[in-house]
Amino acid sequence: VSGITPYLRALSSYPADLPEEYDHALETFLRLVSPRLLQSAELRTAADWRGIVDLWEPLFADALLDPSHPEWADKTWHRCRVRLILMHLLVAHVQSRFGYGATASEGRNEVRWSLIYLERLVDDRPFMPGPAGPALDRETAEISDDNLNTTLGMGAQWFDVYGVDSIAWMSGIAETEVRAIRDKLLTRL
Amino acid sequence: MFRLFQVDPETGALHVNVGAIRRHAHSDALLAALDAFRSNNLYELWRTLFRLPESDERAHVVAFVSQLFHEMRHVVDLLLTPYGFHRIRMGFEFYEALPQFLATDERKIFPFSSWMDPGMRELLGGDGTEKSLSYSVAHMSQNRRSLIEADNRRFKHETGTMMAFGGDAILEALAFGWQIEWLQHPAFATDEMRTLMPYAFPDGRSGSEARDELTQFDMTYRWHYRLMGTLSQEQTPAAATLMYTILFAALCGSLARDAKPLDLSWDEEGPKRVSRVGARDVSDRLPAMRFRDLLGWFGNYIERGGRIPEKPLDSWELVNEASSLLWQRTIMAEIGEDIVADERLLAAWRPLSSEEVLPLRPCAAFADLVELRKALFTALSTDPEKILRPLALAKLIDELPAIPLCFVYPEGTGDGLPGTERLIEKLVALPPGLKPQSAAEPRGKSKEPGADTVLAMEMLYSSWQLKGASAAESGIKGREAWPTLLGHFSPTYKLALYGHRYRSMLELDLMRARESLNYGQSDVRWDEYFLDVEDLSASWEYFHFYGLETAECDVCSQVTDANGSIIASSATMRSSEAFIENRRQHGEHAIFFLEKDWSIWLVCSDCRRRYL
Repeated sequence: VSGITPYLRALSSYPADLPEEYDHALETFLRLVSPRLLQSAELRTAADWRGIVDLWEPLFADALLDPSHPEWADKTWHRCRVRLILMHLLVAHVQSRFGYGATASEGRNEVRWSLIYLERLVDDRPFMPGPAGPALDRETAEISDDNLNTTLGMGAQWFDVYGVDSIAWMSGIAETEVRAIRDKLLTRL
Repeated sequence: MFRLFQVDPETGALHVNVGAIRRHAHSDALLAALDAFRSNNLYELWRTLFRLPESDERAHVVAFVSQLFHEMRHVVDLLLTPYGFHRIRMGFEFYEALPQFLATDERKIFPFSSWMDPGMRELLGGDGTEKSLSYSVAHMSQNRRSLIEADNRRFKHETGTMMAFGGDAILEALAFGWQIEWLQHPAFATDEMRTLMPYAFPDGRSGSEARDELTQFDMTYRWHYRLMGTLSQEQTPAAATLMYTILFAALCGSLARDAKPLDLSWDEEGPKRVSRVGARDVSDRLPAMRFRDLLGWFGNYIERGGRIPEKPLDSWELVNEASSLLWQRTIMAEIGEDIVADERLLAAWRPLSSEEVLPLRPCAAFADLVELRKALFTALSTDPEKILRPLALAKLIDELPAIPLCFVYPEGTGDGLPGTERLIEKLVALPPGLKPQSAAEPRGKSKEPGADTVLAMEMLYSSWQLKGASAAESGIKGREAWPTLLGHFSPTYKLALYGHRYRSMLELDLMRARESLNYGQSDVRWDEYFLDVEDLSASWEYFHFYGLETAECDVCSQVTDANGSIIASSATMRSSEAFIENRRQHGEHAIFFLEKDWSIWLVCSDCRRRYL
């Protein structure tokens, strides 16, 4: 079942009798996202980086946690929310690495996820200029784009501080791939 | 009548026609929206719909949710306003008296209006019953009903349509105003919406501004539009806000403030005589009168140079001031006195049974409704905008737990929605060769039944729940009382007052209530006129809801349209002998489904002439 049912089902606490083709993945994603967003903003204000990482952990490997996922192509409001989650996560990963001295294995994962999220943010196209539909007002779109630019700038600093080779070693990702991500980032900036 | 939702004014319950929803092309999305509402997410549901891209599917869901908003506004007004709660209280006074009413071995005549009528009473052999206890109960119920009917008196407009200015008409005006406020938002006022619900938009093809002609629809839902001219030449948002506040205030005359509860207690010699409520002048408390007086006051106010307030809160203050000047009570004081009367009633009812029985009695459910009412009253007194502003009210509705919801499956097949309890269920034997159908089975997967055997199929008709919260979570006391109340007491009350001439999606409940009265009593007499069902209505709502231009007649399968067909209730069809004969000719299966299926029928003009 395509269409709007998963968005509405995500607001329900009742199980439903649904056909096989129903998109449970989308509903599950939306159900996990909605109650966490406000909490994530509060943790961000409190600089509780570890709290943010723990909060979003159930969604780490979800393919829908990508603003360029086809599901969000015509849904600017949802794309804006996914972008916000990635920005929170990227900042939290980087900051927790600096501030709390995660263990080596955790750290390796942190860096890996940071790279994945950073690349997704680099690939995310800006909302503006462009018509902000009824789903997303102009002001929200502009703020989101500004925040994205700031976050990408922070990503560039991260590369400057650690260097491509160190990040490649810590993340376990090939140096050529890491370098490609950095180049894409610098081009975008 | 084709209905998706119906509020029961004598229990405050919202009835939902799940059978009709399940047949819609977008039923998954509609049921998901219904589940979001049941999960106390009405506000989030609106926000989500607001942001989703335009599509035919979204338009159908928005139209559906707007109807839900319409009905929930009824629920709030019924619970909060003295007129609305008087309707609920009327029902509960009868429910509390019903066990004793049934326990007396006396002659009883139904409906009560025929019992109270001297001519009909004599004709039906009821002379001499006037001193019985059951007559006293019937008299009390009929008196209450007469008051409401007097207030809701209908007038014939010069266009030939009927109009009223009473409490029920005001409830409709308030609910319709609230409903279209959502729909007229730019995010929803799409081409699809204008096609689906043209009457919600001033420039729609049924918009009253575009035409001189007035239809019955205008007279039922938009009769107050033209009266706004009393306040302002233009229909400005401020004038509309003031009009809706006046309408709300008209419902707030406390009918119960100096009433005395009925004494139905027993002593050693049997039931005591029922002490009736004494004669009281309630003319200034009836909505039609109050509305007239308020509108007159505001007409003078504007003529004196008074300005229409721009903000809802200022409108609220001004209408409270008018209420004080006209009746020496603000709206809040009226509602407050009404709630005190409810407490008095509960205090009189509680001692009539032991603590063990108390949770099973209707007064336990009534106590829950009074608590709900107090919550709304508190919201209104602390921040009137929680009630006056649509979005704030949607949030408030999400916070109210104890509203009873009744889910109806007129087709008689399938399981209830998750989290609901069954009111009525029955095991029936299927005719040979008939396969059971159950909505519980995943669609698209056919499950072969055990052939050649007589199968038992569960025939579910209705189920219920209290919206959004378990009893443990919300401190609800009357949970055990609700099933009997919804499934038995309430239908019996409707039957006793209106016979089968009450338009309800719970026709089967009315039939069962009648069976129960007939078999449980030694001497019951019916006025035959009220047993004849005639629930026929236009079919355009049916075509709008399903987004159809044409559809097949449910009797002859010929293609018809909204102009060439009507909707007939299931009981109406059953009361036609010619139609029953027609079904017999279609064989055993047709008769089986006729017995079990209580959904409405779409009937083309030819079949109407032939059978109805």
